[in-house]
Amino acid sequence: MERKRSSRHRQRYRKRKTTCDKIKDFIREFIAFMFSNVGIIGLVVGYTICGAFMFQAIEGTEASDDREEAIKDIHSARSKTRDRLWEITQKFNVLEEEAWREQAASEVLKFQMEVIDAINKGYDGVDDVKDLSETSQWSFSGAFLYSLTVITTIGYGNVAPKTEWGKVATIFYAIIGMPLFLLYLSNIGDILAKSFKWSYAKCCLCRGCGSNRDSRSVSPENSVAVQVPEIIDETDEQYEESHIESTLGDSVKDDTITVPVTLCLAIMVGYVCGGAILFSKWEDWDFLDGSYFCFISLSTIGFGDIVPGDQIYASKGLDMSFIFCSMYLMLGMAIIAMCFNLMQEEVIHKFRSCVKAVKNCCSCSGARDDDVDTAPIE
Amino acid sequence: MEEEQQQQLLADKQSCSPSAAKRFFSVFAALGSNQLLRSALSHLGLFSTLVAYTALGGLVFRALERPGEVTRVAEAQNYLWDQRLSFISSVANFNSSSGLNFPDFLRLRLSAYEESICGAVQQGVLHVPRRAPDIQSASEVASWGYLHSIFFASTVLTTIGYGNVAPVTFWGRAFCVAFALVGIPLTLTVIADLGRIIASSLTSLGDTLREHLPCVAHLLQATDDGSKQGSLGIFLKSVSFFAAIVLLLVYIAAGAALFTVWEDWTFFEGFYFCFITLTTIGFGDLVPKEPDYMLLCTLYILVGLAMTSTIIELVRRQYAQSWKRMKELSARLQSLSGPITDALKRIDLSRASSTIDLTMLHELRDLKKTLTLTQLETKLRFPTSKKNEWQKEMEAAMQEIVQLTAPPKRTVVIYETSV
Repeated sequence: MERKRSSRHRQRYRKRKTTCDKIKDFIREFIAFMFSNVGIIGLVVGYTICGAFMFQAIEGTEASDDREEAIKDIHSARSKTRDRLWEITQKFNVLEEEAWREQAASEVLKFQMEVIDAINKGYDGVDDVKDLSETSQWSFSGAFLYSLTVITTIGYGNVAPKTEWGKVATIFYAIIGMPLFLLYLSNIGDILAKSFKWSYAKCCLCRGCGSNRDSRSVSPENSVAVQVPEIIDETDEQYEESHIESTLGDSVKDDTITVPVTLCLAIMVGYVCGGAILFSKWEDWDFLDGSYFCFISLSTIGFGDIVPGDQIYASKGLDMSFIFCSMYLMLGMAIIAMCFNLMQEEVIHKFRSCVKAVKNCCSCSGARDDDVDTAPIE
Repeated sequence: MEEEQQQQLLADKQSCSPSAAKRFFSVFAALGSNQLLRSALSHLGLFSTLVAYTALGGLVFRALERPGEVTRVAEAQNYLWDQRLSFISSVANFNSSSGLNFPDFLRLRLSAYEESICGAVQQGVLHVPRRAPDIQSASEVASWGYLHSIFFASTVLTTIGYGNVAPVTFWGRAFCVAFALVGIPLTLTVIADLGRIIASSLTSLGDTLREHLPCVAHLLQATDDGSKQGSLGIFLKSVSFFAAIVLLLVYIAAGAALFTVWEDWTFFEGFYFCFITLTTIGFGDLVPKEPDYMLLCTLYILVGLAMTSTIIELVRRQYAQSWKRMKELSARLQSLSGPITDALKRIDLSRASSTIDLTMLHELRDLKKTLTLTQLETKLRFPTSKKNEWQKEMEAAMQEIVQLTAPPKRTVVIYETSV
């Protein structure tokens, strides 16, 4: 293959360079590496950790202040109601029970309203101000999960910024973070898709009918995995190659491997079910709750009605479940991206052949039929 | 990647190649308003499919969730009511024989009552029942009204997912999964479609501007060529990019102003809400509550998402355009470099480095011109790309050849590496 030969030539040529050039090369390769394969994972994780510290610094104090206020409200409401009831009891004797009941009922109603207000403000049943630091929503792991839900656009909303600065920081954090995460998704999804396709071709198609296997579209994936600095060129050329293929359009036959849609769906369902089993172990959810949570998270809908570490009193093991959840989400979204990648390929392939068949059937005017977009997945 | 190609292909077919566009235009003119009508109908059909799907989904959600919710709320209200009665009667029947004094007893009972209130609030009771609760009052409280359900369905489809309302029953959740699986791609299609319409109208707006304002035309010409003055081109490109961003910000600000009227939010709260919504993060800490404006809000969200995707579309078009130009240049390079390599090999073999003929020089100059163009292109888009490297080397080597000082062997190596 010409490309391999060329890279060998290039390397031979590079040996003759000065050290300064070597350093430059190294830096360039390092940057390329950071924005490719493994580096982007580190970049996303680092960005999320930075965000966790930032939001913890901004929101941590304020949130507990808010809760303290709510708890103070509750305390005052309690003592006031107690005093009022005591007064009422002293005022009316036991003999005048009807009047007493009326007064007491209105008092209790007032108390109930105050409690509901306090709950809406953030009171959640924990009285003790001392416990706040442990059960605060903005612990490090909570803030980490929050940052991740922002840049993945899941947005559970069980934890949300309350201060103005927190909101402003969220906006800017999202503006930078979302493209970064999209980059992560496309890179990792691409790599996963390629390696999956390769292994699929190796494992499944070897013993089956090898007719629609093509070495040309398989072999570059080997070098992708091994030669990291070559990635940019490889993908460019890959792009070009497939672009040429797609411009040729109808002349493309089944010389590319497409993974069947059912397999992709099976992988997604399997991942969701696996997540459900794991979460039902970590949290006390049943299987359905777990799979519902996984689906809602991975589709980035993110209602936030079920969230890991939801139990307020379970301060133990809370951190681990947050971290595990973050890892599960990052991996899962990459896998979903991979599956979409593969499915899209398959659907486009199918659609092409379908259009071709239609054109063959009625080869008259219908030239603009392919304006109907097949690939809405963005 | 694949998808970009697909879209690029479509874009190429639709707009980029001038001859095809001309032909299409003539056909278009011949068909007259009929074609326009047809395309408008197809867009409209897609949109109305989405609307119908959303409405249907909302109704199904309502049918699935509402009965359960109403009974649940009614139970919680009843429970709360009973608790209050029992609290009062227990206080009324207090006697000191149990060993507690009255304040202590009161405190104990009160905290128990408070816990039951907490539980009831989590079940969805937000209002205090003043009279003895029944189903009627519970259904007034229930959150699955018609408009609420439709709004909920739209937040599922756009993957915003506020979560202030969420399905609780088994069938509601199962339907939610199926509904999202089918509906999300549909919604993305509609949004992409809307985005494409807005993008092409923006592009045509730019074209008319170019025709009518000569100075702007001159500037835009510079951006289009991109080769004359790279820095100016980049500057103008970034300006247009910023214009798109500013457009989005204006849209968000307009939404914020609307929401300050609709809901009793401050401007910043409205801005924050719109941003969180249009990025589909959707925390749900701020949620529109007025049912009258919910449909308008849904429309706002849909158009806003289309705007967001418009910007992506515009950037993508620019990318596709420069990619195409890049390909043309590389094709030219390929066609040029073949004969030159041959010639150089000949020179290398004969060691007659002083006899470079005129045609060869001409070819070299042509190649150099193409190279500089390519280099500008790469600089525009891949600042860290390694392609710059060999181009520089090649150019340097070429200058050496032109001055007839370089050993030809080296250039041959370079040619092989680069081609």
